[in-house]
Amino acid sequence: MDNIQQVDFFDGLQAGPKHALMYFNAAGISIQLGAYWNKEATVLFFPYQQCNIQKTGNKLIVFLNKNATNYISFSADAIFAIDLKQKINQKDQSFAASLLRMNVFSLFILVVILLAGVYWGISTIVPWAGLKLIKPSTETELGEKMYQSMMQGETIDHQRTKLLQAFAKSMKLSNNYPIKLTVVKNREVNAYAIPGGNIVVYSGILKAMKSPDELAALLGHETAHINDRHSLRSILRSAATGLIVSVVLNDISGIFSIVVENAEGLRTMHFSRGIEKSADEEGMKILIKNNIHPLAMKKLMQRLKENSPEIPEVLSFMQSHPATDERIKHATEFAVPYKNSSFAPNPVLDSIWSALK
Amino acid sequence: MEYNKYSLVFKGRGFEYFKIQLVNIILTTITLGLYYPWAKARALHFFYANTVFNEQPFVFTGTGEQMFKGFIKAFLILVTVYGLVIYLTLNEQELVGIALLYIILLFIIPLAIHGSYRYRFAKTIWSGIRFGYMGDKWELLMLCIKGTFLTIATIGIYGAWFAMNLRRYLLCNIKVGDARFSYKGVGGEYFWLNVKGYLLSIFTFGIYFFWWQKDLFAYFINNLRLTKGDQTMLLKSKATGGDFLALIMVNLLLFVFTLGLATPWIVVRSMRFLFSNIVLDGTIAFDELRQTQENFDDATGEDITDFLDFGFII
Repeated sequence: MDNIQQVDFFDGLQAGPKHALMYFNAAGISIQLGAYWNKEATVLFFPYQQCNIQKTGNKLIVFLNKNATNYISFSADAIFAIDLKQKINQKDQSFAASLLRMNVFSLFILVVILLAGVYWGISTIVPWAGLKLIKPSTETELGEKMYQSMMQGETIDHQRTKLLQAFAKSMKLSNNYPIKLTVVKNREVNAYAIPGGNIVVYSGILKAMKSPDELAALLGHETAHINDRHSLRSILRSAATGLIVSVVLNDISGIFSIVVENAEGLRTMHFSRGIEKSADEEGMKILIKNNIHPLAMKKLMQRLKENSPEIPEVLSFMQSHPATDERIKHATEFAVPYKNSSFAPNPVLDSIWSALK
Repeated sequence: MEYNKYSLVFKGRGFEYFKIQLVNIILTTITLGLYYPWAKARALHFFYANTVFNEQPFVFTGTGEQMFKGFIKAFLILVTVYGLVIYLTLNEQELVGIALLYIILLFIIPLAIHGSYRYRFAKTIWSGIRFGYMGDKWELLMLCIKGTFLTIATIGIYGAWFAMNLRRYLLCNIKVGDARFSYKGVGGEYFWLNVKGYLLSIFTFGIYFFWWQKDLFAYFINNLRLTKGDQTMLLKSKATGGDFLALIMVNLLLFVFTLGLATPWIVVRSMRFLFSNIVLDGTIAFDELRQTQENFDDATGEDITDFLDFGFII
């Protein structure tokens, strides 16, 4: 017994340290109270599986059982410390332990990558699942509620609303959603679609338009947003982002306010160029289905472009639809095959149009 | 009896805590949150191991497995409660649902505090001696029900008395071996302390706020003591309002300029500050402290308080 060491022993019965002798081998730690090793006296044996080592200040502490009531402590500089530490720590092969052995910089990078991944994952999965789960009928119900809250504080032009509704009714717009029109008294040149079928048209935009086919093009474009669930997709995406932020900031109530904020954002919704282009295209398909020349879309955009400098408001229809020239070009290209087709005038639309004007 | 000065020091380093937090974030994220109990155990372990009283560190012996079991139980209990409330709300019984929620929470919260205290203190060891919480859950429940109703009836004024009664009950039932804590703060003093702090903070455009914090800390520490037979240890705060001002302002600046990354360092330096400002002296011979408290493994209460997000507050 040449490697017997003096240590302080805490017996878990009384707080103070007791002088003890300790030696360790491949199996575990043996301890005997007192200053001299006595072969006759009791030896306490503790297998390594139960042990845990910890450094506090300049002392190493070896807990001898899981309850940490029995432990020994000795100077961290002791010669045998490294050997004993190695024997006790051998068992810790866990993933957590290997992470703890990594350096802080790598860990930090790992956290950043992981959180970015989670962010990307959630902002992709939530909209995808949401679109699958929310049926058009539910969407219409939700949209109706959003519509109600958004119409508070707006003046509705009931007469024009009725006429515009009749205009839309005589067109084939949507198979999945009941398209409902509302004309709001507002000089802004703006119109927007709410998920589920509501389209809000400002009187300003009606005033700016010069022909019924431009109006048809506008309805086609907005209907395309509804049919392709663009707004819902965008709301779901920002709700997902909001969800992450709320979880991170520990603020669940935040999720509800995010949904509300998004409803408000519809007025000025800013879709990506790709989404606007596809809405134009789908809108033009609707026009063709209704026997209206697709170039009406181009006409509509040019008209709105002409009108844009006059609009003082920052949040105009034009600004939320960027790159108008590019879109005009796209519409022209789309209309090329229909150059020589003839589209019969539609007396019903014409007559409603005159009434609207 | 011998008169002694005792030392209480926090030795943890921000860097180490930062690393622990990073590892915890990684593991909690990839397990979709299920790792949380183990993460918490690791953080607690760090705080305990670095808190040294009279040269001996504290030890947290709670484990992730125990807290995970509690986590699952707490989750099931709360899901059942919220499920019931949502069911009632959807069936146009909103008022019944909300009333029921408040009533259930009124019962669950004290019971959760009770469980949390039992678990946390049974797992707190110093110098091989276990802490323990001896409170009775029904007494605590009655105290909380009475406190809640009186606080509502007095539009919040009774809150100060409620807070002190609760603190007194909890602290007076904590033991370490055969020594017992006691607290003698009372509602009246606490109430006026807060009225004074609130009003002076307004009159001085917020500057007095730091002195108010100092008073609150002192009111907590100075009224706390530990007794063992006829031996006593007294605690005293020596932090000044200026100290609190420096602490909080530096913490704020650290947080803002590192976009929150310095949080582990902020936590660690706050701990150091609090501990280094407590003076402990008295006649207790700590070497003679005896093991008397039993072990306790059920962490459900601990986890419910976590879910309800009010942490471990005395």
